[in-house]
Amino acid sequence: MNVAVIASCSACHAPLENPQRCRACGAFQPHDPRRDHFATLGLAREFALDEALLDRRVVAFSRDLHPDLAGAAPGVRARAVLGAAQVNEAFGVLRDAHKRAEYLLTLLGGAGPNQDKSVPAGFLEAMLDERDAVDAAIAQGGAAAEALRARFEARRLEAEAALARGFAALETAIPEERTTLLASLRRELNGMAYYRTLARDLRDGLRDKESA
Amino acid sequence: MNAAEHATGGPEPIVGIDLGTTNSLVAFFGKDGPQVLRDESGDPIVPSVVSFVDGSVLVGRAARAQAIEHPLATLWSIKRLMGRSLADLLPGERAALPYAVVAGERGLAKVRVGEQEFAPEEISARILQDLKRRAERSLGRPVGKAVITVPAYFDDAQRQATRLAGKLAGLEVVRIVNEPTAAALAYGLDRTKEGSVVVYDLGGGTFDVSVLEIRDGIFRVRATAGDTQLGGDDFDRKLVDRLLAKLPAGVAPDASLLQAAKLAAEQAKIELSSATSVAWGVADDRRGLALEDTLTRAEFEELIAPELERTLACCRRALVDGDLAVKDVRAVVLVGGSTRVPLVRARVEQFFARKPYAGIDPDLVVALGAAVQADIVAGGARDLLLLDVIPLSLGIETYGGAAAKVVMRNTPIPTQASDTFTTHVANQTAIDLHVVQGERELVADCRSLGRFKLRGLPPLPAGMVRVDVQFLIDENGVLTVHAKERFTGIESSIEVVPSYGLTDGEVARMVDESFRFARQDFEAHQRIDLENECKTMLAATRGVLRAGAHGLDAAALAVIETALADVEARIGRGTVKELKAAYDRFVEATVPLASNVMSEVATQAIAGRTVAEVLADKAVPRPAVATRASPTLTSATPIARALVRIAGSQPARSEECGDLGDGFRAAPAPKKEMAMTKLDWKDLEEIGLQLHAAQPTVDPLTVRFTDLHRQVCALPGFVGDPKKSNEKVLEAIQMAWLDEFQSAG
Repeated sequence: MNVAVIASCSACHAPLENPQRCRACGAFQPHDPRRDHFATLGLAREFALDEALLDRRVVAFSRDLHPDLAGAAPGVRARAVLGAAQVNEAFGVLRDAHKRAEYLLTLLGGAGPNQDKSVPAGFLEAMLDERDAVDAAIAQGGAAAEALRARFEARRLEAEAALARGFAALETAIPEERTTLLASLRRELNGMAYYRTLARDLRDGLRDKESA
Repeated sequence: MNAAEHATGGPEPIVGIDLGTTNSLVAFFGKDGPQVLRDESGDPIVPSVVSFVDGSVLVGRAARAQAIEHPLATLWSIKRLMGRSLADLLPGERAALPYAVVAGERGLAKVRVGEQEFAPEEISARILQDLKRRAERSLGRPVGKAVITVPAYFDDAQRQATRLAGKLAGLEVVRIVNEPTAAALAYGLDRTKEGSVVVYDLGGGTFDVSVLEIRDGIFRVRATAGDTQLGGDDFDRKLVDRLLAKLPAGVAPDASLLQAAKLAAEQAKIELSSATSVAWGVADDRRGLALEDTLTRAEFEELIAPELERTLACCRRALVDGDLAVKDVRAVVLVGGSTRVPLVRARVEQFFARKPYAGIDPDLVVALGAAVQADIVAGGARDLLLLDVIPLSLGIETYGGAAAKVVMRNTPIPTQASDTFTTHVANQTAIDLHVVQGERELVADCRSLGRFKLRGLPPLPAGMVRVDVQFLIDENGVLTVHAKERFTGIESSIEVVPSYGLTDGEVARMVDESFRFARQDFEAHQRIDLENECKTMLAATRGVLRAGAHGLDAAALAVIETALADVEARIGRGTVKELKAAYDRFVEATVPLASNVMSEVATQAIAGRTVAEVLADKAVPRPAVATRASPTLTSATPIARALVRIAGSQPARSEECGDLGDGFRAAPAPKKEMAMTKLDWKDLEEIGLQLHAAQPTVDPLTVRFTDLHRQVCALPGFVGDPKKSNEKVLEAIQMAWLDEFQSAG
């Protein structure tokens, strides 16, 4: 398990809960370009996430950094805006399991979605059938649509569980296994992207039909 | 000032003001908590109406009493015009106002009464003055500061107009607060409720729903949605229509009759909140007309049911945007006089499966909350923070007119986000970045916020350049866009105010349309992305084939040629599905070619890269021209990508790629640019070019804006309205000129 590193304040050397601003002396910390979204929110760099903790951190760190509370001096305000913006950007990425996985995979040296578009064997054929299933569910509506929606939702949860297992395995993997594990995470995420689109098309299709 | 000073009557009370479309109120936080300040007869409400009759100015009920006799001199719903231009108003919006609405400076809406013209801020200031006097009478001391509430959807221009109205009334506006937040404050929800709160605000003319999350004294706006053309006035209008249908054939209603019918309808509606049926009507003695109607509550409810469903659709959307289910909502707060209608309460209760908070008079709740906020500002009594969101998505135009969203709507601010873009044409050395706002997939349907240019890109094959574009939005919603080319490090930036000139009506309309047109837009966007991908792949394959047959026999080459021609024939026509199928066949057909080329690659190494690098595919820009291929379009297989990369290492011939060289716009159709002969304010680059050409030695940074303005207006072919420029425009022109000046050395 990774543990978030607690640094100390550059001004008063008190331990930093918020890496961007010391609560003890109020000093803003120098910008660290290597700080990733996990570190920005004081979280360990791992896929498994305590959502309640994430939420608490965003609120607490916003209190430290939001320009409404940080003071209006010109230099302070600009630094506060940037700090609060980084907190919100990190929150936007980490709160969403798919975005979080994409981000973490890149940090760990995996391929991006445009660099490796491979999917599991037979996946694309299955997609054609799923596409037909979406069209049929939209046409039928009612229980059929709900059943498909539920199936997609279940698949999403399964995929997230698979991602969690994959990322956990990566932490203890020996170097020779890493490439394989990264590639399989990439494939899982590529598959998830297809299902995301399917779920959205189902939702939009049903709404279009309802409003028509 | 602290609480003790309040109690002893300190010198500077801060009042809370709800400046509403229909009614306005003022409140103050005293010893016994927040109180709405009333007039001598105990009436808390000042109707937001101003009349100019016989040389005197009346405000409130007295003004409203003039509406029937003087419909052209009695101004109501002025809030709808605040901070908006005439072009911003929807056709129905202007028609609904009987008085004259005219274009003022920069097209901003003004009202005309007789010979006089007034800005909406001036009319609002009259109402604020009345509230200020009322507060001073009630508190027994001068009042110079106020917190004023605005709808969550109000944009920057509308908020600025509200501030200005305060200033005109002699009030310093110490804070602008969103109405839903104020309502939650009035209920003390910041202290007692942790969790998600929905504020359902159905006023006279607008509907707003906000999902707030409250924790540790922080109000987080999770989502807002609304309809600025939906409110209690619509209920009245339905009753008026029903009554006017009884007019004898050939008799048209005049402004007085319309006003009388509107007031009678309002009264009938209010009575139906307690009675089950009402007899109502209007009489026009001058024309000897009498219209009478009996309306049951059931009939009334049937009439307004469609409007109610529209409000619930907004609630549904706000919940989806806030990533919440109905069961997650801890409290529902009702705001606005129209929530007194029993059916509204019943439907809201049914929808959220919980009894809404209605303990505080829905007409007073926003003003009371404003007073709470005023107390906070005055004494810092509570450590409260509001985390707001941006109401509309922000993005960049990509080739073919698609809008790539960089920051999604309802993202908390301040925030930053970045995305990577690339060039579309070989040896393109400049890229136009067009910043847009809106929910639609195509730029033509979004609002343009500004353009800037990144020059001096390294001349590389299409798709090889990498431009990182970063958006930074501060706590006021002011956006700064910064672009940087990754290899050379050249950069450029622009500051845009996202809400500049944007109206709440537009916000609502754009969001609405995005839902209505989402499917159609998505397909259009998909087509643009796919066609761009096809074109790149076709060009790449041709490039590879020109260099040789790569070991393929004539039959194999013919298969590729046929598939290639098939794709080409489908670009611009047929369905997306057909094009996709043809493209997939083409990719399939190029597999043998690609694998042969790949093995050549393995022995040669390309463009200075080692084989390992090529295979690892590091630091190689994605091939597709469209910046962000959507998941459904992930058809470029590794083999196909290899083709693009190989083609990229042999710069394509310029005529084939339609190379327009420096200045090629990623965004608009080049045809349009070439045909352009007249200059307008928006033609920033061309103006910059001409200014530099006219005075090549002048450093644009030394030119004052007034002189710059004069010089631009004097340019040959300039047809822009001199009044239609402002500091932002001039600054952008200065930057364009500076570009020219600097690139000339």
